[in-house]
Amino acid sequence: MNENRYVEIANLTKAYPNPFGQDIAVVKDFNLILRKGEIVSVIGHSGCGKSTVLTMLAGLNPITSGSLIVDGREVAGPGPDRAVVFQSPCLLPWMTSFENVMLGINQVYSHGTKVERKQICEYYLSIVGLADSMHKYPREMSGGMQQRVGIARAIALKPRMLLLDEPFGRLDSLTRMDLQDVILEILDRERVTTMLITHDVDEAIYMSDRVCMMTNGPEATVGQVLKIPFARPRVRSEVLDHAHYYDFRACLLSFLQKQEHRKAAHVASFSKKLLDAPVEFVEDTVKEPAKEPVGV
Amino acid sequence: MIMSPSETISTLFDSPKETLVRYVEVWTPNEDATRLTLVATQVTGPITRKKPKHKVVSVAKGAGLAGTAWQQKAVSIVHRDDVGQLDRINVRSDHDLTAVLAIPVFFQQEIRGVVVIGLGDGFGAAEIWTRDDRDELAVSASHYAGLESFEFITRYTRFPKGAGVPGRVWQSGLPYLLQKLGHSDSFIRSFGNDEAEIGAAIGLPIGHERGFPASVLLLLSSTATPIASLTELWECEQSAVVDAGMPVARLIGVTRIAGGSVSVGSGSSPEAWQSELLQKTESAGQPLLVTAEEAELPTGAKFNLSIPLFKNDVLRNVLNLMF
Repeated sequence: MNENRYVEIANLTKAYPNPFGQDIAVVKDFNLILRKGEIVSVIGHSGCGKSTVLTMLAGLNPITSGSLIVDGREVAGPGPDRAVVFQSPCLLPWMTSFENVMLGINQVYSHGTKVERKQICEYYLSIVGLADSMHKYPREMSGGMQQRVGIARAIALKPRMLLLDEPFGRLDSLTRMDLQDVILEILDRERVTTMLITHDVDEAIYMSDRVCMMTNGPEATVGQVLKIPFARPRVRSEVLDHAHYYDFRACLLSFLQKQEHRKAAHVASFSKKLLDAPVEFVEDTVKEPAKEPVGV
Repeated sequence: MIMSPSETISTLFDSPKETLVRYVEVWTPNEDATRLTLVATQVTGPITRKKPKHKVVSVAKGAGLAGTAWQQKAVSIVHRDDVGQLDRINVRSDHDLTAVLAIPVFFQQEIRGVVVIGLGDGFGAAEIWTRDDRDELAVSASHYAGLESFEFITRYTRFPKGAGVPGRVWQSGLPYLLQKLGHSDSFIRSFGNDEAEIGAAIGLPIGHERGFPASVLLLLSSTATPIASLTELWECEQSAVVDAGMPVARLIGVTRIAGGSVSVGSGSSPEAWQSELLQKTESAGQPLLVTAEEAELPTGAKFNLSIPLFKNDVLRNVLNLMF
């Protein structure tokens, strides 16, 4: 196993057909390599294709072309080696937090005894701070607590890779910071290779070893990768006080601003195209322009 | 249409801006390609030319700056502090030059010459991007004149294949000239005040390794002190015309940086000086330094450096730096 190339994403492309039947690549030639234990954030504007990349890596979304390799194995579908935490924890409401976590453990540790599985479940619920809430139902817990269950459920599977899709997006600032620290502590201990999708540049800097900046779609791809040199384990106050924290922040914000300008220019050009395009009305139906379809 | 020498060019050399490049040397291989010989030298700007300690007119592979670039098949950079190295070229430039670059030119694996460029004070940069163990490009050597935020952020920047100017050059194996960097979505490394200073980036593939360039040289040109008074990247293709049994290169596109602005042209009506330079560069197959006395150049220009760039046995581009 090559730890320097633990996860290899090569020329990854995802295309969907537009209303005219043409394939439009939302993500094109996305290249990224992650080291074992590395945390890489992916930032970019809404709709640029960040989550598309993550769901393809999770095996939940088939790829159009390219390749995805995790620990030397090609991704061919979903599997317990790649755990996903979404923005919404999606717990089964009729089960307690313990039962929700046990559901996955029973599948992955089927060779273990019942006592062993119970211990694993209790261990992971306790490290996310839910030792006293193991037998609560989702309706009895706050959004932050439910997300902790979701994190415990993912980590308990001992995945080769953890995929976090804006996991703190619905949480208030304090809970968000609290959970960021919970995840960082676990990742430092377990050395799980992680991809974090986020909009938040501060979150990206604080949590990641590298930040992958995605260009706007269509044909979104990696624009630039920024290495974050802060030592681990991270202490929030030290990171914020670091002499270059705001340089990294300015770099990421500058990238996002440029992408915003590009998006605005693209929308303007699209609108102009739409207005200029020859449109033929026949019996209340709009026909496709003859030469240059404008659907994107 | 190829751009005609517009008013911009005709007035460009009347009161030329100080350029970042202050000194140029061209070294070409001898007949059996065992040594490189210094064949031309030109100085621009306020550089003080002093007598060198040791006058070096030819070097073996691995010797001196030119020989090192040849041996390593990569651009070598020497900074002002390394006076020992600077002594080995023909200019004592402790005060005038801030860095010296040696750019090797190859045709496949065969050395065709080394261009040595001395840089002065001002705004601009030269960066050498090489592949790391993750197939990403990182800066392995660099020189910055001003541009502090660039210098800082570049240390932490990586480009995968196809991303940014270096990634694009690496993927295509072809040079690339990007204009209006401050407003460009493609040039995304910038932040802070440096952004306003840089006008254009020129990416050049250097050497070949497993089907890709071994490294990428990125020159950042500012509006205050451009790399050269006039920079043109020519795109060529082999025409149907055959001369001495060989097809002749035809100029099909020009990207130009003149007086801080960039323009792009294409077509089939090159200017006389462009045709002449292309023909000379192609027939030499080597970097070429010509003065206004030796070749027809736009009015006021002192000299021109042409660097041929080959891909798959064919001359695909020529980078021209005119002073």
